[in-house]
Amino acid sequence: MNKIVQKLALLFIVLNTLESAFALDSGTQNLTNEDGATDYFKITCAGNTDHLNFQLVEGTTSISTTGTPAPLPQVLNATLTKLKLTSQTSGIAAGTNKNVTLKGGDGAYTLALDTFGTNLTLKTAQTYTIQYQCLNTVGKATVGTSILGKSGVASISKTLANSKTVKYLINCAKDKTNGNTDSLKITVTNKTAVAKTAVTSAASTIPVSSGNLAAQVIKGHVAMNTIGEVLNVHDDQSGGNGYYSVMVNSPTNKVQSYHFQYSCLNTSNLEEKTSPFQILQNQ
Amino acid sequence: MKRFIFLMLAGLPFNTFAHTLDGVLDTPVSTVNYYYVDCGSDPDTVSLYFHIVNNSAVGAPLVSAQVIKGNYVGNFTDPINGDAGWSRDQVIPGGNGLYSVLVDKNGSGIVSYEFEAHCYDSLGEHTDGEEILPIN
Repeated sequence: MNKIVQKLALLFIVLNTLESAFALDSGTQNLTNEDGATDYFKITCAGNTDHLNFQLVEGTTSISTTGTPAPLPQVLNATLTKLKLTSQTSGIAAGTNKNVTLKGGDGAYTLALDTFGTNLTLKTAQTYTIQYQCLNTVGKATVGTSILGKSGVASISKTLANSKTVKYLINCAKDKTNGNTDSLKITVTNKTAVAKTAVTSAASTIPVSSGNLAAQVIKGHVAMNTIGEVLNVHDDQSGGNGYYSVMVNSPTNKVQSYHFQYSCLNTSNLEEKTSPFQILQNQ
Repeated sequence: MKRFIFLMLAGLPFNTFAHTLDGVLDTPVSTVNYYYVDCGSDPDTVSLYFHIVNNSAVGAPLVSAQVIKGNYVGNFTDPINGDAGWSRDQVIPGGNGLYSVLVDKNGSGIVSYEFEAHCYDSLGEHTDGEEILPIN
């Protein structure tokens, strides 16, 4: 019995170690030599985040030691067709959703999903849900039927491998109250887990900095600066969840390539929900 | 008065009702002095004028400031320490409200600085308030 408990405890420790050693990578970003140039990003943390772990790295060399950086996301593309009518949306990245609408009236529509353009270094199949709704001219629901499930309700999660295409048929028909269909609206949600990059732990990372590049991270009333050292940004007042603002600039106005790695961590340094960063300003 | 005494005791800059502010950054690279510049709406503020000077000796880290309004950020660095020259200056057309100002440096060491911030209306006149508020 004691051996079982010991093994379980060891497994727990190993799993914790692995989980806390993952972070997201921004991929290579470039700063121009324009006077005052600053790149501006927003990172969102959710779950039970206590702090943001952040590291700025000059150049394009990854600090990863146990994995390959995955700067490109896994994406889905959706094409909706009815006879000669077509509408499409592309680049539905992991953790995001997009709508596609086609004005085709009543009848049968075909929704094609593919994974072309996705990051082929990531081998895991993508997970997604589809919600469809047949609508009249004023946006009221008409009758919709499909193997995807009920109209207006997200389907069960489905998967699609790299370089594959899948098609679904959706039929729209006249509703007794709301009349004829004007359009079909589809929402595709890419529920694939955002790619993680294994990195060295903060303690074993040796920052290399020329002083030509700096980053600042703000959360609430807390602001921190780095030229390469790992930051753990923690805001007592507003907590760990929410938006973190990240700015990258060059005190010497040098053209610089860089990337950064970030992870939303809880009080035990285990990763919480870390959303892909957004670019607010690219200079 | 309580605020004044608190800021004095905390060692924070306290000339919060002027157009310029003198400050000191502690040794760690991670240190940031964080301020709001509050531009009033009587008359409406059109823009914020900003620049910064590093008053430290040659050899000290370079001092930079970032001014943030909405989704815009501008960086200002005094390229030479200890001389009379300032960073570039810029008029940021951000309108009324709070402009965030961060002051930081590109290495370890204590540095002193001064920055100047003016809220201007459409005629180039100062608008009301123009407070500089230390945040951290």
